[in-house]
Amino acid sequence: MSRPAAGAPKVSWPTFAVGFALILPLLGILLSGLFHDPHDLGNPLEDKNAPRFSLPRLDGGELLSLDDLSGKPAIVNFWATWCQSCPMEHPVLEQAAAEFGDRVQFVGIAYEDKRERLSAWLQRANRGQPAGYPTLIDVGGKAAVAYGVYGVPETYFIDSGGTIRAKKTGPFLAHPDPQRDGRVELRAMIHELL
Amino acid sequence: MKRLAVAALVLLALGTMLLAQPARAEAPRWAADRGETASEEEQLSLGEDVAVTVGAPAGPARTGAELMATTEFLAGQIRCPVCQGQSVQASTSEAARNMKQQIKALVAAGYSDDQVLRYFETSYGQFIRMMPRAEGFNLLVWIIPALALLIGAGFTWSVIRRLGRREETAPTEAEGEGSAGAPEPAVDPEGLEPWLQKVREELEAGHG
Repeated sequence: MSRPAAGAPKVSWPTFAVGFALILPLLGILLSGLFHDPHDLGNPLEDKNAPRFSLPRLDGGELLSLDDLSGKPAIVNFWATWCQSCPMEHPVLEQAAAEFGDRVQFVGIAYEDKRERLSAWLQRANRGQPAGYPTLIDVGGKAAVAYGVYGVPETYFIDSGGTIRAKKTGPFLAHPDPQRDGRVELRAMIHELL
Repeated sequence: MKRLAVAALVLLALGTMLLAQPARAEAPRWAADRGETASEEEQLSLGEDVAVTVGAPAGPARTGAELMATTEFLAGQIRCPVCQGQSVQASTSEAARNMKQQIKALVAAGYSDDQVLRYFETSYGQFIRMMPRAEGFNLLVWIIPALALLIGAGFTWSVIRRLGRREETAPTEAEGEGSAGAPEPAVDPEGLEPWLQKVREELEAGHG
């Protein structure tokens, strides 16, 4: 018995087109999410005035405020002793502070940390030498909220006019490959500020 | 005996759940008290740029039950930045506690709900809102589920209607067999008619 010619299931093209038109954008959104770094949340404060702060110095000195740094570009690094990558980033920042300290003001802001622990940690990390830049304590986290800090380390690049020009989420780490070397990246970002 | 064993197992499960409850409510050790404890004055003070960011307080200072209720409500609207999908209200992390304290200070100073949300949004972006604003691209979040529901309902309705129509056509065909005239062309959603026609032809050829 031969197969009859007719009888194939009919395709409703309008239904198919509507379904396709609805599913395609959703697929696009899902696909774009696959290629998006979930840690990269952007920087809503880019090209905006840096939030002011006035915080106590770890070394027991007076309060240090953003206004005290006016006229000089600033690099504000939020960090903590309990942060895994901060110890690896610290020498990179110290090195950059030694190299650019006359033109750029480096500031460390301790995030959710205690004075004694910070002092002991810095003493150990700097091998008894004085720190290359001041560390401030953000008790209550007001400065961290004002800057929109998600985690540590986070570094903000503020130009001499007090405008945030860039933000680095995560540490600057030394690496033998110049393409991945945080020192090279940091230098490039500093040169953009100058 | 069997019943006793089941009852013992149920009691054991309930007991374990009850014992586990307080442990779940406690803050994880790593998150608790990492930083310096803020003094009462520090807790009530506002960030230096609050007025620059969201202007002067829109209303009068709030205290007591109203302050607590508004703080809790707003803490539920703001995402904890160091957590996975938790609000500041739900999280026990130090970052969330600090943020909640700042919400409280803002509410106490007379800032409106919208001003408080805008203050956090200015520095963290819209991601900090547990519920994104219903505008622009975000509208899709509201529109797509409603649209999907409508399309699903429409599809279900059309399938039910088609099935109902098929049931209606079945007795018509049975009635047609007994009559002397040519049967009315029946609805053939499954495309069986060419096959049936072939069978009829072969049957007729066999009888002849």
